[in-house]
Amino acid sequence: MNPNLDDELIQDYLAECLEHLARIENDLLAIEQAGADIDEQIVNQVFRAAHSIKGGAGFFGLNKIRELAHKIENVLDLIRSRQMVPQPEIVSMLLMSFDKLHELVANHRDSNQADIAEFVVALTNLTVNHLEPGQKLSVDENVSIATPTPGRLIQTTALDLKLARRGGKCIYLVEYDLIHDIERRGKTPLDVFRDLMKCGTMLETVVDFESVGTLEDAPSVKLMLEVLYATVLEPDLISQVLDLPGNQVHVLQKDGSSKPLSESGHAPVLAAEVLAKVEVPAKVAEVPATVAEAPAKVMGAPQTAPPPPAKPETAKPPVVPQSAPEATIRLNVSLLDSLMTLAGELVLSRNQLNESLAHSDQRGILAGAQRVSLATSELQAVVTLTRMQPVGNLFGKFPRLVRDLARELAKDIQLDVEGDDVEIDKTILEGLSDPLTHMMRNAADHGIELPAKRTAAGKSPTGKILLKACHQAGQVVIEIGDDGRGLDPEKIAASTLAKGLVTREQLQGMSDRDKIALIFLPGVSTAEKVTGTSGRGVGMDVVKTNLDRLGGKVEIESAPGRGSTFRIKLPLTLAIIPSLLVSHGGQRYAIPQVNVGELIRIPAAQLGERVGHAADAEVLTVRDRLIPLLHLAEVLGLPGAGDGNQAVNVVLVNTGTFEYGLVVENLHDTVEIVVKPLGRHFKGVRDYAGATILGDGRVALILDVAGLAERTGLSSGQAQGLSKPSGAELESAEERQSLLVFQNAPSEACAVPIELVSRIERVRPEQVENLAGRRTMQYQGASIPLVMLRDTAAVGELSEAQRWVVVIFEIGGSALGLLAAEPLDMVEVVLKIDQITLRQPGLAGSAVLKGRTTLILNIFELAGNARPEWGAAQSTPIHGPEAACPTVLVAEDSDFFRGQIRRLIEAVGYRVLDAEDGQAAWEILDRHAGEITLVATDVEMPRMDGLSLTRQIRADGRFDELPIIALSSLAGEEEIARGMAAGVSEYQVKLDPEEFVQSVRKAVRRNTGDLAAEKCS
Amino acid sequence: MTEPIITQEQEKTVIQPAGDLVAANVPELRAVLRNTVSAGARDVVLDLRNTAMVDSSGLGLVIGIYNSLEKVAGRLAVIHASRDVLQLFQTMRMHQRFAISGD
Repeated sequence: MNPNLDDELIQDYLAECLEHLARIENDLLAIEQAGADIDEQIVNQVFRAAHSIKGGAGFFGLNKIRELAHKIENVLDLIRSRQMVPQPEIVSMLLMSFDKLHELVANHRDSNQADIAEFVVALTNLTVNHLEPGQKLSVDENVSIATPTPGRLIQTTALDLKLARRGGKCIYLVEYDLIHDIERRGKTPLDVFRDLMKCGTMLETVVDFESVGTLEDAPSVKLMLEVLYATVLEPDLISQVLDLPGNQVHVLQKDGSSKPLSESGHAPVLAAEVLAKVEVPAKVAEVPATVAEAPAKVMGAPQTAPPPPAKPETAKPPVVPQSAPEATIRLNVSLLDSLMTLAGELVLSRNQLNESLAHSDQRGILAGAQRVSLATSELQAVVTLTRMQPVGNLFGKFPRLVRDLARELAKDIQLDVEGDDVEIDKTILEGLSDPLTHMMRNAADHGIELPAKRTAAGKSPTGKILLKACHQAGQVVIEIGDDGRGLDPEKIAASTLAKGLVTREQLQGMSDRDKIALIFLPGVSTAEKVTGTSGRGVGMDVVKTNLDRLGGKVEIESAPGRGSTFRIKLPLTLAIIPSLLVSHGGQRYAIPQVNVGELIRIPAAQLGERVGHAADAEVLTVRDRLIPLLHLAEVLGLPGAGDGNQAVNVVLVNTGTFEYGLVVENLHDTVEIVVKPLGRHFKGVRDYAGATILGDGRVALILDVAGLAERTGLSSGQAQGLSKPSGAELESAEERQSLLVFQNAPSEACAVPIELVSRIERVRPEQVENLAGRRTMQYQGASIPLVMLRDTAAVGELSEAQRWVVVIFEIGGSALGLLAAEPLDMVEVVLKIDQITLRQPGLAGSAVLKGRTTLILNIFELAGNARPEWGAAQSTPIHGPEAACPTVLVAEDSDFFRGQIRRLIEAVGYRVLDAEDGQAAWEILDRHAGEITLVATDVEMPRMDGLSLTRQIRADGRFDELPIIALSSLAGEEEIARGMAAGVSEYQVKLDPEEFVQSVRKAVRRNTGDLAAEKCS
Repeated sequence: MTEPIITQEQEKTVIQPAGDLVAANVPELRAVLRNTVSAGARDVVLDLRNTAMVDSSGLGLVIGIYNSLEKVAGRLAVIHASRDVLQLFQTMRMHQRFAISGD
């Protein structure tokens, strides 16, 4: 054997094995699909892959690999010769065997100890069952093989040849010139033969006696030896092992012809040229066909000329230690060339710079710097290119995965892959493998329904999964779409709620999209039951975390019954990323640009207005959303956090799942930074994603915005809970009310609807004046009456130790102050008032807010106490005929709101009839048809909603002129349009008391004339 | 290399090279053998008891002897071949042309 057979050769072999194996899977799937109508090209391709794996394995003494590959090859051979139909079971067996083979190759050092008995037996059974008996060859069938030397034959028997080919061996006709090829290289023929015998069999040799001449002749310079050599070595290895030029090695084809490996050099090119033919000795000359056909019958259909092994003609993979085969990368030589050119360019520029520096030539330095800069950015671009890999490398494994899953789950799934050739950084590609696999699993397992179910739903029984990659705005977008059942936001919400991951209140504020995004919370499984495929511990949270690591974002689109699409957006490369520089205390930090949403500077004057507190966290109001705030200095424990009276810079960062504001001291430029990983000793640190070296040579740490949030306990659930739902999100949300929560006596929590509140002022106890039995205070140059809850209800007293505030309401055009105490809070909830337990004058009842029993104030009752004349309007019985007094019909399902609206309307002196839903309202209207002057209706109600009520009223004919005010917390443009279409006269957002009262008054006047309106007031 | 020992056993001419049949020794042996054959030897026995190694030139020489003898209807036999040499000759199917025996 060639003594140079060192690691280099085995590395080449292993790399090639892995390449073969990577392709095999999809080929096998194609074979399965084709069924009996095999595509010989593909079968041959797989066959050759198995074959070359076997060949090399034998050569390197990897016996288990060889054995397994051999068994696989036997099965493939039967498929190729159409003696076996590649049914799914057979393909499954082959796939599993190739998996095992992959495993063996990956651990080739230990492969000889591996246990492959199970596979060998199974594969053998497959072959045995398909072999036709009686395929024997007689010993006396001689075969003569022509050597390249005209007229010279090597004789052997067909049986020998057949035996030699067993185990997938190749037969070569090797020509040695003993003098030239052996002696001149300092070897003896015996050395060479022994090497040959180590990895094959010398079937026959023929020495060209004639060329030697006799003793009389001059000593010959040539001694030709022809060897018929059977070996497992592949054509591309053989010439290296033999150390012979390719034109002296011929591959013996099964039809007996032979082809030289190559006309020149060592490169294995299998020219289709046939140099020799089988010549049948006289004895069997009458039946030449049998000889030629015999081996073919056994070994399979006559092999067509194999296409040259698919190898890039440009580059061979660089050789690296085997321990990390994925550390190698195949590069186009042209890319290396351009790298080299750029490196040269850099060197030249450096020389130019040096020169200019030595002469203090300012212009030269500038020019040099420019050149360096140019070359560097080009170099960067090219180096980045070298790391780019087609996503196809990753996508390639999914057809198999989906196929296996489909079989396992008894589903019919078709996978379409698009954008195989989109390239992405190798590191990202590797990091994508697990998340993508998980998502593909989910799509097949949870997404696609069983065929019967699909048919029942009117869909094609075959489910489709689309895996697609494309470039979009400097990012790579990968989509996994299925046309399955889609995600059910309610189900996910229920599951997360049951697990205690979110609270009911949080859920109520969520849109469907938010709810779907809950699947990214740890511990949420969309699977109702754990199957073999899903729910095995790797949740979507891990997917999310992995993608976050890669700087990726994931979005979900789902339509129940129609399928879901997961869209992953990834940066092209990780090594160099644009980042925003911020600083605190002179230390600079980088925030990856992908995480940066916007930059906000809040002037000191607006701090109080825009920064508030909610649930013990600081929050910032940004366009009607509440965003939690973190102070970089606090989180990192740096000295010198701001004193709260200066303008602050806020970086709105997005972790992928949620947003928060990071308060930093200074904002700087956006620069491209080169990411350097932190050392191993910082492995546990989640605050930083890495470090980088800035232009001035100083180090900046790269902030991991998700890690920072995690450390402070900020989570997506919390952040979402804080976010006020925006208009669009409200559509699906239940009706919510905003309440101002304050304290009465210590530990007595009270709340009042925030819409009623006009201002909150801090007040000192001594500012409260007691005059003429009335409590008042100076406010904006006038005295305003002050009330306390204690005035009407049996509650505790405000203590002087508390921080007092006065909550100012505008009722009936005049101001009224309510004394209360801090802390203040604002909550947004679906209010459920218990109107029995704690009902007292001034108290509408109680409700549980954030786990605390909170008193809900009825500010009208309180006001009535402070200004009896105002309260009298409510209590004075209405005199005169009912029809004469404007009557407002109020339809509202919330007792609380109904009460509030009633008070407001009664405060202006109209009569109120109320109903708790549209149906009840209609019945009242129908009965009191002539009396009702105005209808104020809630939109969302049980039984009959406000719009249906409106339509019914308009459809009746009696009430064409009846004004209808719709009150709703749903106040999107679309909502309003729908309301108008239904026939409402006015659409109001619930509940602005002033505006509402104005509207009611106007409407009543228009409808009845001022006279009637004045009658009752 | 020292001269080969040539002995005459009845019809047979036994030639015993003193060492290996390698390129360095071949020319000399070649001359001796040519003389032997041209002197009329027809039954030549090559005694390789002192020969450990045969290289390509050596093989060429043996084949040359065979070819010369065949022309004159003579016979070649190799005796006392070492195991290596025996294996070499067998691999090259020399035994199909002339008799070879080991130690």
